[in-house]
Amino acid sequence: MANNIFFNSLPSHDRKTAKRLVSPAFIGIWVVVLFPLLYALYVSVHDWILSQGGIGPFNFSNYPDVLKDPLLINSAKNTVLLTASVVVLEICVGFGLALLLHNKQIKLRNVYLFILLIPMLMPPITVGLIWRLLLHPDLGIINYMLSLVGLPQPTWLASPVLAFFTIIIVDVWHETAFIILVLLAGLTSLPDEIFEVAMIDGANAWQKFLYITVPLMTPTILVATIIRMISALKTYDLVYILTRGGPGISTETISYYIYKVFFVALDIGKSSAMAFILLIVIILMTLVLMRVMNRVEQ
Amino acid sequence: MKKNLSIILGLVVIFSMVLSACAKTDQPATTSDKPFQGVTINVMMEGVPDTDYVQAQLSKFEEETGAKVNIEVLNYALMHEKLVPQLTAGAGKGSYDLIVVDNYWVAEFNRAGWLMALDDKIAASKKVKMDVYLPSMLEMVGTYQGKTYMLPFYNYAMALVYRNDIFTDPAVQEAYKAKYGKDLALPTSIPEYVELAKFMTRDTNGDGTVDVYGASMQGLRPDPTAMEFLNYLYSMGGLLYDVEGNVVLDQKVGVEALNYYVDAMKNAAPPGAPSYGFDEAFATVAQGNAFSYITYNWMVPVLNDPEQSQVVDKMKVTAVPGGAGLLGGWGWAIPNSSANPDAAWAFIEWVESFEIAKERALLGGAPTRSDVFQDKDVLAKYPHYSDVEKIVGDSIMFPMQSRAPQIVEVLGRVISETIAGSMTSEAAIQELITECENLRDK
Repeated sequence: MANNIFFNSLPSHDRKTAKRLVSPAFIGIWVVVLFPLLYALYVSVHDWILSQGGIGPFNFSNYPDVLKDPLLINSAKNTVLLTASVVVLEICVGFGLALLLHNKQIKLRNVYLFILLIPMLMPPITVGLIWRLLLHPDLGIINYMLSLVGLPQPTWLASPVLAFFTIIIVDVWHETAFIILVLLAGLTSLPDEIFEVAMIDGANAWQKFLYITVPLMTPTILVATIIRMISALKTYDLVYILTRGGPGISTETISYYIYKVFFVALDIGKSSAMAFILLIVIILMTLVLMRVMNRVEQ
Repeated sequence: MKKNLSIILGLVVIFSMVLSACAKTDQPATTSDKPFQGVTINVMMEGVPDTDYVQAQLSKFEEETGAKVNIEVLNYALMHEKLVPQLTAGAGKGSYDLIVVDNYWVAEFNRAGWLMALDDKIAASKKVKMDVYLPSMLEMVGTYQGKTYMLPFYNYAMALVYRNDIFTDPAVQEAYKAKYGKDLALPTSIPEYVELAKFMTRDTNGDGTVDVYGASMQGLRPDPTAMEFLNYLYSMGGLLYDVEGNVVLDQKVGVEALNYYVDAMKNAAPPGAPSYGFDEAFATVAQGNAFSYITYNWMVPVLNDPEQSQVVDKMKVTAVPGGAGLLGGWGWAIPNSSANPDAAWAFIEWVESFEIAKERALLGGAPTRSDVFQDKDVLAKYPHYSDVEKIVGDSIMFPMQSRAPQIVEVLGRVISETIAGSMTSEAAIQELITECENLRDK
């Protein structure tokens, strides 16, 4: 709070009043965030299976135990692969579409933008249910369309590799809208003067993109990457609706696995330990990316 | 002035007390007529046909008792996670006054002490008779360790549902005899069933692609595939636990059953079946794209409904080949966290009375009472219910273990991994045996 530009710009008397006014909300947020976190930490070092009574004795071995769990390791691998795939694809596709929508020569840009934003307005559960119907091998419209043009009709969710690929495609369909929105806002805020100067200097479209747009957009792209990466690491809904982690364990993500340990096994201790490990990993990855972002800005 | 005001106020209070006393003399007629006027009974139920039938009957109970019954209908997958936090609430503090309990949850809920024992209420009741229920249902969703915690609501014993028009088609019968040198007959074992299902997987319109599959199957993790596989295991003589709760799964029998299951999944079921849940597998049958489906016995009335099916009057039901399918069922229970246990019990007495249970059966419901199964009106409408009564009596329930949801999860995972090819059937059954031992009640 002390480093905030807004506070620093105020005279010292007003600064004190502003801090006093903001402090109840500030304390409230910390209580709401800190209390569940500390409670989760407390629970994570105790034995507690909900159907076997109240909270049990202290047991730090929850942490080493879950780290040795082969199913958690498998779901962690799946999650990393899924996150890397969807973030890279969504940034590439989203940036491309944002550039197109930023082009003032394209007519009806707002109509296209609205259409592209529709998936973002839908909850993931609805997205999963719709795609499950669309992807039905015999009764779904996608395979029907493929059959009309003589293409093979895959069993989208029935084989391990294809099911993983299908989840990536559905996630890209659903989440790219967010990237478009963030990057389009970034593109709109770029100063026109630099592009005009570059044009006078004889730079072509590719050179303008490579030497002006990309460097100026890098902080925005990094922010979009961080936000999207954090949410992709927590992917749960799509997996739950589309595959339930199958076939086999090929699409089981870490959040879905934690959900099962909590709600199926009712093992509150171990699931809290897993959730805490996931939280630490996300915080570390975010810190790394923020550091990269600071260097880029400097 | 103050004194006068006090006198007036005093008179008003006395007058209103007299009035309310007079009013009370008129009340008993209303309360005895409608003993639960103003009470709302909150119930959680699964979105299945039997729930629809109960909803269709509700207005009678509401008229009789004055209670309002608020049924929250949920998808099965969401029920357990939503129920547990409510069941752990203190006495009278839960959101649900009455619940339906799947047989998988019986041991878990009772060991945790979440359900109310009903023995005293049953003893005091003039309406409820326990000896009318089929013993297999009562053992599964009625009693637990000698006490009664539930009244059986409906059964979901699994059976073989098949297309009788294809089965009795002379051309099909001829082709079968030409291939196997014997007459086409209903299979009496799982190996025979898988062989028949593979034979029935055919291209019937000559366009070069298979359009009728021998078996509609549901390979989705965890419960769709776990439930389906248990029919194969039980019918081949395998069991997960004995009645004392000891793990008795035989490696050889388990591997054999799993190999037949995977064989059927790969060679007699639609290519997408490893990812199918109940809805997709049902749609395959209802669209006329499958010869058979090991499913709930009460799917026959649903498949005979022209609004939901294109195979009306073409389906027949028989026992799972081998004779011992999976028995499933739900029971009515009052959680200890119920805020209105008396109203909830009144509802159970009403909904499980012979008249209401019979009416539900006539709508297509799955009975649990022998008097309903054997009722002449019910049999006139559903002649196959005499077979279903035997199926319900002969089927084997899921083991009564408190960590049954986890056992289903493990079972679903190892089967799915075997179908996906990331695990051998030997390794899958070995892991199943190990996990059953780890998870059993000790």
